Amino acid sequence: MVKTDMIRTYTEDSLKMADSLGYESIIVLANSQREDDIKSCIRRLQNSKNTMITCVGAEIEGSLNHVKKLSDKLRNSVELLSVTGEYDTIRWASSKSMVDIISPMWSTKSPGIDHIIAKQCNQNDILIEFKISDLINSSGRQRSRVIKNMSECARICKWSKCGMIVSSGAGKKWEIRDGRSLESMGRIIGIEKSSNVNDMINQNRLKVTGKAIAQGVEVI
Amino acid sequence: MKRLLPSLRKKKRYVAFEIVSESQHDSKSVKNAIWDAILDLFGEYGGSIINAHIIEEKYEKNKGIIKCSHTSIDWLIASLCIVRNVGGKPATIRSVGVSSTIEKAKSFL
Repeated sequence: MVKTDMIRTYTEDSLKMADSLGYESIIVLANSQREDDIKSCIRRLQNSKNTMITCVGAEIEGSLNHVKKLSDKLRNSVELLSVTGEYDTIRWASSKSMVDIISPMWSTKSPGIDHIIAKQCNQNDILIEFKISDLINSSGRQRSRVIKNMSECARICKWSKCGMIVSSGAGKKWEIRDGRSLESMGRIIGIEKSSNVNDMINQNRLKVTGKAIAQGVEVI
Repeated sequence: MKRLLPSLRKKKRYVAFEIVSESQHDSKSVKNAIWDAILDLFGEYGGSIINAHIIEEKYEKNKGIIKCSHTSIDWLIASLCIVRNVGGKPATIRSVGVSSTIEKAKSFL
């Protein structure tokens, strides 16, 4: 069962909610279009004494140039870097190994994941995130579009052996869902097994501290 | 009508669930919320396959048991994931465990 969830909200209430839903740990992604906001949020979270937060990351969204600039600036200060946006942004992010997670906009007409991006993600060890909050917050025709986009993307990712992760992606307290529900929803979409983010986080921690010299080589 | 032989009966599973909410909800509003979610996500045909039945006698203090077809547990749990409100108040439904006997399902609560 999924024991770790990735959320975008960082209030005490939401952490309590995650605890009551049976999660052992939580990854919080600070998302904003402004650099200062992200940095202040990361600082606040890193100083937080809550033991549930195991990792603090950043989610960058916006135009391609904005994402390029911010990702360069933030890479060394966060353990997890997620990128969201339109096709151009995702295409650029998939070619960069410094990006850890790509989070497509599922409720748009076309989320932008094609076989080229999926292959590049596989080569650069980038995970594709399936946010269940997009599904929860939609209804009717839009929800059917979200499900269609997700299942098509899961099919392409499976074909190209690209890593996938199902998360609640909650921006509010009431959007957090338990691990079993996420697993079931993933299976319906077509994701048999979700990738483990913790391995990626451990690797990034070594990189940030400067202990990792190259792939497979580290200072002990 | 004569009862079906046990080998001819459809296999079933019991899903124990818990409502995470700030208030207490009655079984009727929970039943409505779950059925609305099933119909929203899978429609009437999907609902017939899931064959969900909320056991009202076992429901108390925001905890209960749902009986469903053994092939559609994932469908039911995914439907529970969609629930945002119960009786007009924000809530989420968490599945606690799945079992083939009601006694074992009760032990999860």
